[in-house]
Amino acid sequence: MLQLQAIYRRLEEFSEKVVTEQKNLTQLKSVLEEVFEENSDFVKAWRKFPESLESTIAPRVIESPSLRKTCPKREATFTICSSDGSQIYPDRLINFCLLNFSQICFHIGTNEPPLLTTYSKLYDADEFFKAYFKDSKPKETEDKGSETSKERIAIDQVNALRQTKELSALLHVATNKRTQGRPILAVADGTLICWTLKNAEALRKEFIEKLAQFRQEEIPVLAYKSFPETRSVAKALEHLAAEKLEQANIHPEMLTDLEIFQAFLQKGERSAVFQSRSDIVEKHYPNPDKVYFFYLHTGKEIARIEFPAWCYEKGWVDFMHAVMMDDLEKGKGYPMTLTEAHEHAVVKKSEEAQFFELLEKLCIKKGVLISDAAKVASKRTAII
Amino acid sequence: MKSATLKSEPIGEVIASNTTAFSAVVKSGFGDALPVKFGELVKTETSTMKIFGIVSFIEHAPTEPNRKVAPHGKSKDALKREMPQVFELLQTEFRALVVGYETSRGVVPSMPPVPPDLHDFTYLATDEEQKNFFAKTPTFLRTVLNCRDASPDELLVAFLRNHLAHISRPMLISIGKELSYLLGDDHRRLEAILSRVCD
Repeated sequence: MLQLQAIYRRLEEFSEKVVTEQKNLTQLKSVLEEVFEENSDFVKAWRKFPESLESTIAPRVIESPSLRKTCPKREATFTICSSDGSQIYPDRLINFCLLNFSQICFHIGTNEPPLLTTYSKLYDADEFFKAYFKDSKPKETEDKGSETSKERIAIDQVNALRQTKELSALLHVATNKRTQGRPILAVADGTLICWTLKNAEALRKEFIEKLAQFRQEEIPVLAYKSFPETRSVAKALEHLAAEKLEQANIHPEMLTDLEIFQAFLQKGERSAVFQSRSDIVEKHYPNPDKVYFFYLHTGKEIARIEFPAWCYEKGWVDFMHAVMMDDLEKGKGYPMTLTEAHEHAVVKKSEEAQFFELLEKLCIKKGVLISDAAKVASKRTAII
Repeated sequence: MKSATLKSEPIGEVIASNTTAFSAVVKSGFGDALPVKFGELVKTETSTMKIFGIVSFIEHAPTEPNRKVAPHGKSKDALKREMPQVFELLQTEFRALVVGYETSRGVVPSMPPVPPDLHDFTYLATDEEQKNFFAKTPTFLRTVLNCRDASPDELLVAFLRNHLAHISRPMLISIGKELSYLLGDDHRRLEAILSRVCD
């Protein structure tokens, strides 16, 4: 039972903190309105992109930072696709990984049936490693005590493979389910910037090629990042408007993009479009596929929406904004389509147990008894 | 509305079974007219045996037990257009109380030697099968009165009303007599059942 009396004083202190933070947010909003003005010194300097910004991840300005665009009217009918993935990682005895992908497609505003499907694939660790990571050694896991000396696929390398294959799955469903004359949007979970593929050249190439194919097929694609932790716009403020912010008792080095746009935007509004200056994008992405992004006030959070530059040039941003707000409302705060993609992709504990039981049976048939921590863990049930 | 299901078309697929009851998931899409109703005689059928059951419980529920149905404030038509997955993630399941089986030697009004197989299809009983079923001693009454899925009296009333056309007058009298015997001195209860069967 909760002992409210015992925590009352601390709770009072916390409530004061919340009030202060709220006041700071209001103050931040008025300062941002001033600095984001198109004719402000800050924006003028940002547009020129001085040397001080070059070494940071501050984005390039594509639209006026003062922009706060309300949600446009949604198309009556459109197609929306998404995909997600989950995995069973390799472990001590099992030298392969399983990836499970969902493919979701809804023809909104029509009576056409949805597509809710899943497919699984097993990857042999050695073959996978040779194909994608031949130039780098797989990372050891932190739990070295349980690792054998034999090389295994490391967790982040499986994640890298999953990120690439998720985009392939999304491209596949979008190209196969599009209907002539009806707009379509492909929605990925997370980011279009392949951070995890920094050291996996083959996978990175594959990812970038898949992204380019969306352009060739003229299928607008975006990635939805919930609660982004980025500090890119914050970096621009930190370098170009520190003095102004500090006068208002705001410390720019402590700010995140999420806080900035939480203060600046209202529910349903999106920010200006910016261009990411991530290393990997700058070095490897072709110009039409450079990653642009805006922040969106969903009503429950600030989300970061990333999309290739060509989507902006072709005028798809309003469509993306309207479709995502519609999807967010239906999903009660998180995109409905991504929720379905996740629900269909996730390998449940019971399924993982079935997977290991099947493997065990197959091995026993061949005269080998396997006993492994993962298998045991998958069978473990919480006790009361 | 969908046209009435033909007797030869499967209406569901068995997902749980034992010798006293079986559960099946309805084959048609969620939101379509249900091919089965409470108190209806259904069967599973293999090459050697048919197993008869009375539908004692029908439930609409999510296909995934970990997911919860939430209100969306939209009409069913709007939901189908705007959130089409909603109907894909719901299903209708029914449970049937086993009341007899049929082999090449005819209908046997007792429990089958083995339960229906999982994934067997379920069907509505044909006119011929209903006639044959009601031509036997009404031992199903005792089974129905012991039912725990639904109020036994409600199930019995629904069952007899659904199949009244296939019950001959002598059989109806026989059912009444057997019921009177099973209910002992509870004449009010007997009256409440019989009056609702024939009104």
